Amino acid sequence: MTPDKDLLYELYVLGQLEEPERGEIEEALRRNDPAAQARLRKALETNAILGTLPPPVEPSKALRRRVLAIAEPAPPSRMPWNLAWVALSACLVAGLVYTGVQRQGLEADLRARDATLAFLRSSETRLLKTGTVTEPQPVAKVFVNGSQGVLLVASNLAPLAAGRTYEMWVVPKAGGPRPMGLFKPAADGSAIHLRAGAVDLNDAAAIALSVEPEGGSPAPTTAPFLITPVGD
Amino acid sequence: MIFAALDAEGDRELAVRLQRRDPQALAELYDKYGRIAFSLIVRIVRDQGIAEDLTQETFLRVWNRMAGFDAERGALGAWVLTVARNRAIDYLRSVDGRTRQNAIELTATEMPSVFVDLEANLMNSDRARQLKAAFEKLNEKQRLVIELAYFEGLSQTEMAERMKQPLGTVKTWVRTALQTLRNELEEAVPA
Repeated sequence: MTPDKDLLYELYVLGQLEEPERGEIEEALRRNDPAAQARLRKALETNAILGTLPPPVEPSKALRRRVLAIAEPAPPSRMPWNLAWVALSACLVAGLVYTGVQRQGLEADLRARDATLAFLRSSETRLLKTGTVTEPQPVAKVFVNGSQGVLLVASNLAPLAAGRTYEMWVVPKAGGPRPMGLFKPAADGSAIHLRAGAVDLNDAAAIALSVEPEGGSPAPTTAPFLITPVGD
Repeated sequence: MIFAALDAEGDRELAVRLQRRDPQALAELYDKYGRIAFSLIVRIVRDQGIAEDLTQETFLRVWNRMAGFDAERGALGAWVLTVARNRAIDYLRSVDGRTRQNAIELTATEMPSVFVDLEANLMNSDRARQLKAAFEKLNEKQRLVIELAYFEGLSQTEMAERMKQPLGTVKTWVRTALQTLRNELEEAVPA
């Protein structure tokens, strides 16, 4: 029996579709197949409406304050000396790149810097093995924090062609790489990219980069590089 | 009504201001979608304290990824709800220690760039009520598998284990349930 394609996309957005159908859908989406995109939109609509089914629960007023604090710069505080050099770099790198967000001026830069410093100040943040043996250039330092995310500090990155971007990935021990945000390096090839949010480090084998089309890809379309193992 | 907050009007302008990093826009985004995102997360994690943490994380993620969102064509509410659900499901998976072999990755389905050209009035009250009515028409097994999939993030294999049913039976229930929901919506809102 021919599978109902709408159904396959509904299963996909619900997280229920397994290989090989899942890979076929992602391949069709990578090709920007109009029919695939239309089916994805339809499935996303149903999925979003399902999210309206639970009965309303009133959140506390404190939650609103916590959410609004996201847009406020972090207060200054002291940081461990061994992370100070990265903080200094964060302040000096003119082409600061942060979470794939295109900068909207100085204020955005400052907020990105504050978020980066807050990440580095956390006692749970740790530095992974730097770069790879086979690729002396470019180089990167990767900081990970299971509850806060992944910070990449890179240099000597190759300039990007028009319409291309770098994408960071977490490579799990099993399954395909998971996207961790887009960024573009400064003119000198340097970049600082913070992907905020919890990340399951127990499940992660490595952090990697790839070059992707503008807007990013759900899975790498070019060979990943700067593969940094995640270990204790 | 909670659904009234889901009116898509004004989202375009709101998205533009969010992309400009306007703190007041974040406040408006929260006022518009905060309660429904929180309600969804509470339903999934069943703990209001954890739900508050995950709701904050949801808005942090949206705030940080706004540059990838298409303000002209994007569906802000659908994106926020999807991110909220994924955060909550990821949390459940982490505390359950569920393996990634069975837990299919959700991140690819929440990229802001995919939330374009969704139906303009997607989450207006009529459409949401139609789906709710369709959901009520499902039989007990069909409703259960949709709840396990959507609100607990279980794979079909995990559902089969929990329900002590053959995998093929569970797959049939899931597919029939989704087809029924789609048919009911299409009959209610002809394309």
